[in-house]
Amino acid sequence: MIHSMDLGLSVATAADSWKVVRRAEALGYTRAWFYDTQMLNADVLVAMGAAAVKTTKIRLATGVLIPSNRIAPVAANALASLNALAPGRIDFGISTGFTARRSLGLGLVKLADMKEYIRIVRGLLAGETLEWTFENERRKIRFLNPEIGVIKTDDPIPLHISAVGPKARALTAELDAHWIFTAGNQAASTAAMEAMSAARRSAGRDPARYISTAQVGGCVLADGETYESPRVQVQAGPHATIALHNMVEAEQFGNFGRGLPPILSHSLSSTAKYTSSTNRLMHAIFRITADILCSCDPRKKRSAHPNSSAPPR
Amino acid sequence: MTGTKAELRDRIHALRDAGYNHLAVHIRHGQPQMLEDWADVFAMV
Repeated sequence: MIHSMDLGLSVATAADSWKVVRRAEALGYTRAWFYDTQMLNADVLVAMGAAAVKTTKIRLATGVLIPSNRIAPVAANALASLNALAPGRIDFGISTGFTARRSLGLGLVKLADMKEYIRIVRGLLAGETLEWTFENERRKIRFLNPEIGVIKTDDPIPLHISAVGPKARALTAELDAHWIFTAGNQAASTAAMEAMSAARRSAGRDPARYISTAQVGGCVLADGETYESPRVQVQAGPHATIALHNMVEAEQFGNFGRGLPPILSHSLSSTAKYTSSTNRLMHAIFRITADILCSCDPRKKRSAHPNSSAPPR
Repeated sequence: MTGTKAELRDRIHALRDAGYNHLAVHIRHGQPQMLEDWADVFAMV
């Protein structure tokens, strides 16, 4: 079955991300996703506000909002405020957090907590009066005066959940949400889509109704350009840090499944002689970082970087 | 996801055929020309 597909962009949020988003809009991109990574980038909602007033067609999405970064009523208010600036162009992307949380030394938000957070955000945007637990007390809350027009709640703000594992996929299906997946390996991307569709069918929902977003990163090679090009390394190289983070923090936070590409897998083979798991890990990181920085093919370039052969012991 | 335009076109086809209907490409901070690069690839899909 052939589906149509449209093109969006993700940005590591800068205060002036509106500049790149406005250019994307002119080129036909349909949606811009803004990272909510507060220790590394600019504030997602500030940047989206600027983009909202500087663009006219492109959709603007939190990509993704991390529940623990702000309380649910504040998030709902922000989305409704953005919706006033860019009516009908706002998307609510959310997940349990990787970079935003780990850069604070934290693991994932619990799925149950994210589900409750979504309930509050959605309910407030729907004009409901809700019971919300905060500071150990149950309270009734609602937007008190949406009719005066300072925010806008009558345009839909679709929910997108970034879901990797089976429980998150089941929650995505249960909550009737669109789906985001960081697509690297093709086989894994296909398997994830099949699993997501199965989860939707199990929840009695038609998979064809939903937006399924493949988030990708990389570089478009110019004619004759190789992976060794500085331009390629600047644009594609930093994605390797995700695999490195996963390796470093797997024992503390669990393995979230982003392994090394096959071309770098041999980098780990030289770590076996280190008996301490910490030393083994440090050596692996050192080895892989050197390989990434030196070449796409570490077997060719290792000898050109003699200092990279000295692991920390 | 790095490759020539033809290679990336094929990989996007594969994602689309798997059922993905929205592709979000990461635009590296300070590399706005990536917008044109990826738009060119997507025009081939």
